Amino acid sequence: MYRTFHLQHQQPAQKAMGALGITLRILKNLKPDPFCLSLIERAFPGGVMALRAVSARAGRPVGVYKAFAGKLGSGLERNHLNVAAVFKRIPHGEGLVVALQGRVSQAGSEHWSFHSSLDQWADRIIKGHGRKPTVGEYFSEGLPAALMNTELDPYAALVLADAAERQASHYGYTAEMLLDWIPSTAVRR
Amino acid sequence: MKPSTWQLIEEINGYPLFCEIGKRPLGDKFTFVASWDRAVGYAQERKWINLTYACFNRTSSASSATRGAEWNVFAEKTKVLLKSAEEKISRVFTERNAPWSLASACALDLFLAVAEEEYSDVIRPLFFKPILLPVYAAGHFPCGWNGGTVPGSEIGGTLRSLPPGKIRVH
Repeated sequence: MYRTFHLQHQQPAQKAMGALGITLRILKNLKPDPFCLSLIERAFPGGVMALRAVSARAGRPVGVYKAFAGKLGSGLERNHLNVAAVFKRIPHGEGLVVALQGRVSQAGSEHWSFHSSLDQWADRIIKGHGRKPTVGEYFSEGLPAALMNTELDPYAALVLADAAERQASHYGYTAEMLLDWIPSTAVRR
Repeated sequence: MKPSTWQLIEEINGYPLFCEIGKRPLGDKFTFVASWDRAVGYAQERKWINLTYACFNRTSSASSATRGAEWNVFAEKTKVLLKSAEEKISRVFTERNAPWSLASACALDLFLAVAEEEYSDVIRPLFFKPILLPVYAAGHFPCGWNGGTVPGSEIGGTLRSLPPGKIRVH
């Protein structure tokens, strides 16, 4: 009886502490060397400070793909917020990424849930209406829903979607542009 | 919309959709699938979905490159005009308890055949109009691809030609 009570009440707290630990560890490791600094300045409006503010508000480590290399814990992968195969104007290494658990091909993992939610969203628009998703729809519907599908809370999901939108706009995307959707199953390695 | 596009929409709405499913199609251009369940299975294969996505993106990207964001307006208009064909498709798939996504994929094939006609001055029709539409017109269900896979790099709109293979038809 005691054991059940203990588990029910300790697990969410432990989970939260674990997530906080990962965030702090990665933020601490994000020491801006000259390469990272110039890369981040180029890739995200506001540079390192703006990126750190996003990470702190979202409660998740957020970075630029190349500057994040080798700084994640085991089991975590860098996930492009602006799907790399779709947002081709953003160079792959400069894409804004968030750390998600598991591989994209690992059913049930956070990474898989993110892409599977986006694919379903795009499918509904394409197959249901023959339309193509717009950049505006991606940031107002598709991306926040996909992030919430990874069990991020709605506030964090909106913070990350907003940051991703800022980056897309920085690279010349506008809300009314149409996206050529590529299902994640097509680019899984 | 071009006069030939209007004409094609009228023709499609008059097609005897799915009235020949399960019967062997004429010619050896197709791979015949006798069972409905296997046809539904093939229609959900990644290879087939990726091929249709690649052909969709090929036409729509070419349209975006020359006519901006017109594609979505064209899609909304055309989907309304193809309502009668879409209803026939939903009826068959509902009767056979097939997934909703397959019914909408078939409706999308018909819409994309119309789109290939509308944008034929921008890009040569490759798949939906010349290959899938005759299968629908003959009352069959094009349900998969028996052949090579489309490279991931060509799905976003740069597909030049179909990989070698044949359409699976039920």
